[in-house]
Amino acid sequence: MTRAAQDHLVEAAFESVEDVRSAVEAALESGVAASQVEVRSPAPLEEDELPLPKPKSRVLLFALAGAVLGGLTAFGLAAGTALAYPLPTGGMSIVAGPPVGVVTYEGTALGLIIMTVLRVLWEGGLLPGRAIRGGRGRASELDHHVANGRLLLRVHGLSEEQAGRLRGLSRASAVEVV
Amino acid sequence: MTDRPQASARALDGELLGRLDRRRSGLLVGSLASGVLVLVFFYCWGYQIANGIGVTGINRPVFWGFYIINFVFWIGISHAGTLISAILRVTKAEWRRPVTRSAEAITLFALAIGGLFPLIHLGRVAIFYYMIPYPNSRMLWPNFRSPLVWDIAAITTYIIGSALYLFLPLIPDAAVMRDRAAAGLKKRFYAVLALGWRGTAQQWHSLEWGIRILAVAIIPVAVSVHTIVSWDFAMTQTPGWKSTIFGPYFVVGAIFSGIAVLMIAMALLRRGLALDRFLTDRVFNNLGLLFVTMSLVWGYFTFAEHLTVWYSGDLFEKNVHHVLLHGDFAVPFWTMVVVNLVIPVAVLSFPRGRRPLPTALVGCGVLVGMWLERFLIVVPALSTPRLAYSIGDYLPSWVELGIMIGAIGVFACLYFTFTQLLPIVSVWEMREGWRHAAGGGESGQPSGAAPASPAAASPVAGGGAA
Repeated sequence: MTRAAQDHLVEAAFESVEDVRSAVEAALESGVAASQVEVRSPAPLEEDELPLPKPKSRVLLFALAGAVLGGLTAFGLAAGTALAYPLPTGGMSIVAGPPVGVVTYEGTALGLIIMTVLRVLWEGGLLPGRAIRGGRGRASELDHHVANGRLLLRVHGLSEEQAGRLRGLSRASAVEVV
Repeated sequence: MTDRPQASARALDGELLGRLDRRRSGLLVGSLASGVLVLVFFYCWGYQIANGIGVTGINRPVFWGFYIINFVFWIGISHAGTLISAILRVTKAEWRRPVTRSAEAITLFALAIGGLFPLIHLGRVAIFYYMIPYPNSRMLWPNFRSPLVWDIAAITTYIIGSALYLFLPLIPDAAVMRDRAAAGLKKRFYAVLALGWRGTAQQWHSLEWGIRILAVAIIPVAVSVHTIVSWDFAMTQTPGWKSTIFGPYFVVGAIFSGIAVLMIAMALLRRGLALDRFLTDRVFNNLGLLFVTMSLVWGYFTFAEHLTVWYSGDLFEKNVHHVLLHGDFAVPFWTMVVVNLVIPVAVLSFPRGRRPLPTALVGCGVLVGMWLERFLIVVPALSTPRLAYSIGDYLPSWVELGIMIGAIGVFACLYFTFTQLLPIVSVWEMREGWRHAAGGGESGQPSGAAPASPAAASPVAGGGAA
């Protein structure tokens, strides 16, 4: 079978999570792989509400890396400026604890915050130029349903027969199917 | 999930979107009125830049006047949002949902204004960058020795953190506005803000992680900011300032004044946007309880601060203490105690006092009281120095007054504009709350909303462009 023949897309908007779950279960039973299924929702869903693989995130890891990076940079700035232009300290240390501590503390927080946000945008495909695999995240003509509180099921890479069957199954409970 | 709660949630959803779509003339009038004050602000500041810092009432020995008072005041107000919102998120308080967006916006705008005051105070604002460490032509690296320079580090971190903490949860709502807007400039504006958000499972999962981490990270940052602002005073030898409890005292005062602004903003929004069924009496009751608690904590800190100064017997400290309690500054001091402690406790201790109007009126009083508190920290200490021959006085000029009043206009203008352009109640967080309540099989009444009226229970058209 050619790639074009396997490239049908079915989209259906539903009122409730139960309806989407039924449609997803039907799709999986008909031989559709979980990686072909995408559900868009107006609010976060619980992890076990749909029979799909749980999304993974490395935001925490990147946040910690950002904190370390930010802390080291801030320490370098505070200590480096003190050493680059030493002020008369009356015998006290040039690189003093309180100022370096305060600046390092703020730098750590800043690094953590910026890296967290960047990673969230990266994982969500929200950064400019970020490639979106398999048509995921692309605009849909049914997106307005999500804006109005409904759920949207999108199944990619279907054969014509699979697409027709899925459309038929979805029509029973969906608000709109394309 | 039963049908009834789901239908109720759908109805509330439609009602909330309808409320946010509708443009209120009151908001426009508010924007225009505050726009006039914005002009006052820039005229006065421009006048000062053109004529020099001599146009203010700042002089020896009172070198810190209205500008530093307002700096501390606005930084305090900024604790309304990010800190309160973050604490409520971390503690998973369900009633936070209609409050967080408004609180976070207050933080960002108050911080932006607060951050301007040290620049205004500099006089020659064009050379503010001398404070930033960079290798200039003589290789003079400014050091981070002074708390005033720590302020730059702390406020920069807080303003970036607050902006991102406001922006991140706003992305899904910007997408809602994008997909409901008719094609045109408005749609493009929301599309830019939404960054291509579609509401996929991965996007929600990453967003929830991000918000959770930011909420935890922003709390120590907020605490550090006002602690460092307090060190501007406490790290000196000036009588009246050298205090070990200034850090927590400032943080408590900041949260207290922040809640005051939040109460006023919530009451205005509830009335102006007819959001009675979302900003419910329960939300005001809970915020009112938090408000009265902070009033008592503030009262305790104030008592502890003044008791130790009085008991110490230190001559110079007692001089400042005397002018505060019995001398030239006694009227503002006791006014502060009444509006910050006596009235809030008297009103907010009773459920009837924790309704929108009384809480907003108490909030107005607390704002006056907290401004007076900052005035009483700055001016009496400087005008009563150790050397008796240098005792001085301070009277603000019209330029300082104009800038102070204009700053309120700048804040109001930013807030009204934000409310007109973006959902001031977080739509997706409300939806999540309704889903939790409906799915949890509680009473069938979605959280964060008042009982559904017959009108609201009727089918609500979800579609339609804004």
